[in-house]
Amino acid sequence: MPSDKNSESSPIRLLLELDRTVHEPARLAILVILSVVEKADFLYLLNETELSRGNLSSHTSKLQEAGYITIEKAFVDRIPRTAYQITPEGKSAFDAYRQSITEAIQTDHPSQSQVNV
Amino acid sequence: MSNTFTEIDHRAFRHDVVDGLSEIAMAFFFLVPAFTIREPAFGWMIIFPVLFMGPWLKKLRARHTWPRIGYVKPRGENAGEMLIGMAVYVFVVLAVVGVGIFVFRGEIKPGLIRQVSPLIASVLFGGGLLYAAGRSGLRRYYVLLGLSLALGIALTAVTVPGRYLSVQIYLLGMGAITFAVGLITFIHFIRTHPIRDLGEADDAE
Repeated sequence: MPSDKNSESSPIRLLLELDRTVHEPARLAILVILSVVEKADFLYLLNETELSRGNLSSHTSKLQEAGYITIEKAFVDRIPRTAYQITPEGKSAFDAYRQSITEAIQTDHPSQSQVNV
Repeated sequence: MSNTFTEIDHRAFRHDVVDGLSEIAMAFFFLVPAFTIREPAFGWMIIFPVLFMGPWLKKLRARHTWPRIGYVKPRGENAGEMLIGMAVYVFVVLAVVGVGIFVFRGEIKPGLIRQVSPLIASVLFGGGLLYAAGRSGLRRYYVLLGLSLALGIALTAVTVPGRYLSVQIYLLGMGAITFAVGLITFIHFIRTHPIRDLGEADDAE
């Protein structure tokens, strides 16, 4: 029988098993935005995340490699536009990440209890 | 939705209307009916803003807005759902006004309907403005909503000679105001947001 320490539902285990593709702050910010909007282009993400162009480009590539977002290049009125959209896999990964991190850290911290006492 | 997600949704919608072009488009929906009331034979002209406003806005935004601040498509813009929502809203407003007139006057006379037509128009357009205000959080939509209701109530309270002249004044007044607000916002937007040269960064992936 596994001990509590090694149990799969252990909060620490949940934290250690977080999806690292999602967990990185810049990629998490990109996924948070794309989970709310239908699609957004490079410039919009650049303004909202305040990342550098190279950083944003590198993180969107990693998310695309993981299959979490799609990148669509098109011409709108003869002007090129690169639009990003979250995939169903990306949405599932993001939802799973939210659930894991909420379950792992939602309990009261002991130091708060001591302060209250 | 949590506050973070709601705020992102508000920002996306606000981003979509920040250039003032939506107000310029909205002005046509006030102005075209104003002219077609005077000349009902040209009533079919309302089809132009309905059919061409979307592609026209997209073309203008592709040239002037998106190269400056980027492109985002907020969720919940299902055209079918929007149309059903608008139809239900129009039906509810007309039903409430009809029942109201019947309760207070005992019968519905054409003259009375003409009298309250600016109020009906202001409430109908007010619904759209309230939606835009709530979704974007932009103060100018609340101001336009207040102006719309004030003008509708004022023109209903006073007796304006001429058939449907009061509702025409309402439509022309609101058309001129929204057009002016849209144009000023657009000029200010163009001046304060230079075109961003992204180079090859967005093609780097």
